[in-house]
Order: sequence, then C-alpha cells, then structure tokens
Amino acid sequence: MPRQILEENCIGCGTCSTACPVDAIYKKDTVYQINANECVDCQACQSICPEACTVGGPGEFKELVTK
Amino acid sequence: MRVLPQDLMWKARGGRGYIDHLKQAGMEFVVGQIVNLIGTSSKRNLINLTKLFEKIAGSEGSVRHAKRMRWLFETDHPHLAWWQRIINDLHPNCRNKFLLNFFVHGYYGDNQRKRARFFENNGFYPPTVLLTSVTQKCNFTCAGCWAHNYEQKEDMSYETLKKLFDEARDELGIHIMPVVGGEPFIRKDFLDLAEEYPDCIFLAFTNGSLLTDERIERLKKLGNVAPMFSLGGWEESTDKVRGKGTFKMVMEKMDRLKEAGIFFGVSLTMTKENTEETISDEYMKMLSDKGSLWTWGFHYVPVGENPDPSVMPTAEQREDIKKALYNARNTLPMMTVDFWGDGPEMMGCIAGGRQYIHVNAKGDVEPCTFVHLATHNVKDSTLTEALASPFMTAVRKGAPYDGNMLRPCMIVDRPWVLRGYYKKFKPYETHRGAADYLTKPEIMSQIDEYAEKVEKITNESWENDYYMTLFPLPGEYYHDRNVLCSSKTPHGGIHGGCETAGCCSCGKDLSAVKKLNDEIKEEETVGV
Ligand code: SF4
Ligand code: SF4
Ligand code: SF4
Repeated sequence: MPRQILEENCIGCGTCSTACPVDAIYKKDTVYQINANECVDCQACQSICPEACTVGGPGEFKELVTK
Repeated sequence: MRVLPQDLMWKARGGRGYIDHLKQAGMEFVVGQIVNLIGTSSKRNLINLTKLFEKIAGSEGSVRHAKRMRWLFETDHPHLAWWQRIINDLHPNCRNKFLLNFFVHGYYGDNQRKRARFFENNGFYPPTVLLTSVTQKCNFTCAGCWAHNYEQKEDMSYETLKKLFDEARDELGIHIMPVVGGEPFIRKDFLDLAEEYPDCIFLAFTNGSLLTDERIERLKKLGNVAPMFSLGGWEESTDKVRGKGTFKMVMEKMDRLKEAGIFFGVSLTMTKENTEETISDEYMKMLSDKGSLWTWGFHYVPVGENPDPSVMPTAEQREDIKKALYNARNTLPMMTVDFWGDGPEMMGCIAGGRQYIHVNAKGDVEPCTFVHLATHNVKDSTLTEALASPFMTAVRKGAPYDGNMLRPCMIVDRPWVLRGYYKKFKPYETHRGAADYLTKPEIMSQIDEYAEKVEKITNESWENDYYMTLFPLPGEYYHDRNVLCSSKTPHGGIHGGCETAGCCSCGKDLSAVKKLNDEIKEEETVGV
C-alpha cells in the first residue's frame, strides 16, 4: 500500500522528498505528493516528516482527518 | 521520532577534538605500545585505554563508543571481564592484532580520515565492514545453505581479491573484513591473502573441519584471522543440519584454539526448531566457557532457490533471541550480537554499504549476504562504483524506514521494500532462483504473513525498550543516542518521546539534542 501525503497538514518543507530512496515524492504547488506507482512503502518519509502528515492505508488516512 | 542519520554520526570531528593526520598516526603507535605494556589488565589500565581511545576517536560515533566502554569498566560490568580475557588469555600477537585492527584501525583511527575523504569525493560514507565470499566451495552440505546454489567454478582470482581489499582498505578505510563462503579455509591462498593485510582483521566464518594443527600454528603467527565456528545447538541439532560428528569436531577445535590463544567466536544459525536450545542459559554458558569471545546470532533467512520461510524463527522467538543474547553479553565475559534484535545498535538495516557490503565469490557486489542481487562486479568495476549505483543508494537511503529498528530487514520484515527495489532498479540475480523470494507468490505470501506478525510484536517492544543498545545499564538509555537518560520511565513513557517534548523526567538537559536536530533540519533544507 503506497503512502499518501495529507495535503492539509503538509507545510511544504520537502524533508520527505530528500529521504525517499526511490524519488517518489514530487512538489505539487505548495505541497508535496507521492507518486503511488513509484512508492515502495518503506515509510522513510513518514518517520522524517515534522508534521506527521504522510499516511498509509485508507483507514489510517481517515483517522488522521477526523483527529 | 527522530533518527540520528548516519551521516552525522560519522561526521569527522571538528574543533577541540580534532587531531590531525600526524598526531593521529602517533596516537596509534602509542596505543600499540600501551597494549603491549599493559601486561596486567587492571581496571585502571583499561580505563586509561578508553581515555586514549576517546582522544584518537575521529567521529562522534567512536567518541560515544569509548565513553560507553569507560562507563562499563567503571561500573565493573562483565564487559570488563571480556577485555581482561582478551588481554590475559590471548597470545600477545593475536591480542595486539585484534585490538589494533578492530578498534584502532577499524573504528577509531586512520579509517576516519579516509572515510571523510571518501565522503568528500563521493557524497556518501563508505561501509565499515566488507564481507567477502572468498570461495563458493564447501566440504559440507548443510541443509538450508545457499552456497551450493551458486555455480562452483568461478571463484575470484587472488589478484581480483587483492584489488578489492586494496581499494577497501586504502580508499574506503575498511579494516574489518569478515570472510564467508563456502568454506574460506578451502582456499589454500586465503591465509597468504590475510598475511598481506596485517592491519585488517579477518573474521573467518568456518565449519572448522579444515583447521589443522599446522593452520592453527599459522593463525597464531598471523594474529589477524579470527575463526567463527558455525553451530546450531547441541550435538543432535548441529549434526542433523551439518553432518554427523560436526559438533564434537567443533568442540575439539575450540579447545585447540583456546589453548593456542587465538581469538575466535561462534556463529549460531537459529531456526524455528533450534531457537530454544541455542539461546538457553546453559548453551550460552557453554560457549563462553569453551572460549568463544564473540557469539553471533543469525537467523535463517529464506534465500536461495525455492527457500522455505517456515524455517525462520517466529516473531515471538525473535524477541526471545534478543533478550537471551542481551542477557548473555551483560552477564558473561562474551560479546554477543543479535543480527536482527540488535538493529537499534546499528540504527537499522546495515545493507547496501550503510555499514556493510557483500562481495560474492564471483565478484558480484550484493547489498547483503541474504540478497543475491547485484548491478556491478568487482572484476570490471570498482567497489566505489558499485556502492554509488542507484540500487545500493536506495538500499542505504531507505533504512531505517519508519524508525522501528527491531524490524530492520527489507527481506523478511518489510518485504515490499526489497520487491520495490527489485522492480525499479532491475538488478541481476547472482545465481539461479535468487529472486524466488521476491517473485514466487507462494513464498511471498508466507513472508508477508511473517512480516505482519513481526510488525505487531516488535512495534510493541520498540515502544517499551526504546534504544535498547548493546549495553544499557539498568535504567540507562540514550536520548537520541547521544545523551544518556537515567530514568527508567522517561517523559511520556517512551524513550525518545522526551525529545519532541523538549525535556525529560530524568532532568537531563536536552538542548544538545535540540541543537543537533536543528542542525539536521538546516542541512536538509539546504539540501533541497
Ligand atoms: S516532510 Fe511532511 S510537511 Fe514536509 S513536505 Fe513532506 S509531507 Fe509535507
Ligand atoms: S514510503 Fe518510502 S518510497 Fe514511498 S514515498 Fe515514502 S519514502 Fe518514498
Ligand atoms: S537486508 Fe536484512 S539481513 Fe540484510 S543487512 Fe538488512 S536487515 Fe540484515
């Protein structure tokens, strides 16, 4: 399951994109997004994001939105 | 959670602690002299040795190591007895070579300079350990071993090996060179090769059968080859896998080596079946009494053609292994390392040159002994080129993934990661069936199931034993591996949680950690 970045939370710092081993994270306007076809789900971006805004499966996604 | 990147850990020391080239060379000489003169291994002498280590330490990582050793010695930890055993029981030649090659060259001294230079030229740090399969041939046919999957005829030539070791030592600053196989002692010229690198320590993973008296004599003269015997439990279990009589033979060889004063150890291969007996207190005690100074806990990894994932120790057993080896090194004068459970010590997976790299007998550069995929071969490229390949770079960069270093492995704990790399970078298989565990659905589903269990169990223990390093004394943990925490229950109940909170219930000043974190952030933003 590829990671996703929660747009509302992302501050656009780009830290995650420097951590990604397969360069799956790209800049989209002011935030960053993950290319689902490239992501190998290593979660490196998740552990490094200062805003904790990268998430895994749909369940996790929902949890964060409602929080 | 913040994980201290290796880059920072290995950053050469600046400012006050910086010792230039000449001074450092001088220091090494002094350490050599002190080790020679130490004779009596009194606590005071050893404490002085750690102070010296701290002075010559070329990076934050090695300063930390020296400090930790001093702290262990001052508190009469069994690790002190381990050092005393090395100093009192070993042949002076083996003792000096081990201390100098492993600690001074390998971790503290000249290698840091080379590493810094390598970083400047290549933009990443080289590994500290080079694992080489010097041959694929073996006189044993142990169940579960992949050595016979490789074709047997293509071992690297002596010249290729020399070229590889020259580069590793002189360019990358690697002095710790485990050799595996096959059976390394099958290669008649292996000891000649070791002789040409007197400032490197060779850990020879062996079945023991070829250690004749003559060879033992030679090992004593060389001093820089430390045999590591493969075992898998008591007599019955060992013999079942390795052939009848193996256990007795290894015991006999251990006695010989102990008598000769040669540094040796044991490498345990754990499976679902033999885990309980190999980690039992009696077994650990036996190994220590027999003279093993270093015991490695490896678990079976389902690699090779059509491997069987059900042989792996279960997730629960892995927890037991972690605890047992931890107990052993904190109670016996024997060093023990659990390849997976001690992931936090190495900050996660070490493959791909993050800490180590494997060159197989044909010369293919593989990220890990258990990942038989490569993009380069040392016969027609350099080790540096292989390390800089996109495949290896990704392997290094991804670790330690989500930060839980108790499930460090991209093969069995996070199998989707290695599968992703395989798909993206298309490395070639170094023998027939090497990618079976990445492509065969029936094997993949078993590994997935395993990974799920490991995740559940280790996530819990990661929360509770944050940064369980090799030797935390009771109630002592690291704050981000730099600042010691003296509280059993740190802020928020999780070691590391204090960092985000900016303070800790142990009262430790965390401003240093904060500064470090800011520095990292700054570097990363600059890097964008
Ligand atoms: S690290 Fe987090 S906040 Fe920064 S760009 Fe990536 S997702 Fe956004
Ligand atoms: S999970 Fe790993 S591969 Fe996927 S986007 Fe994050 S860092 Fe990149
Ligand atoms: S890939 Fe697995 S076995 Fe290899 S070094 Fe990493 S954690 Fe260890």
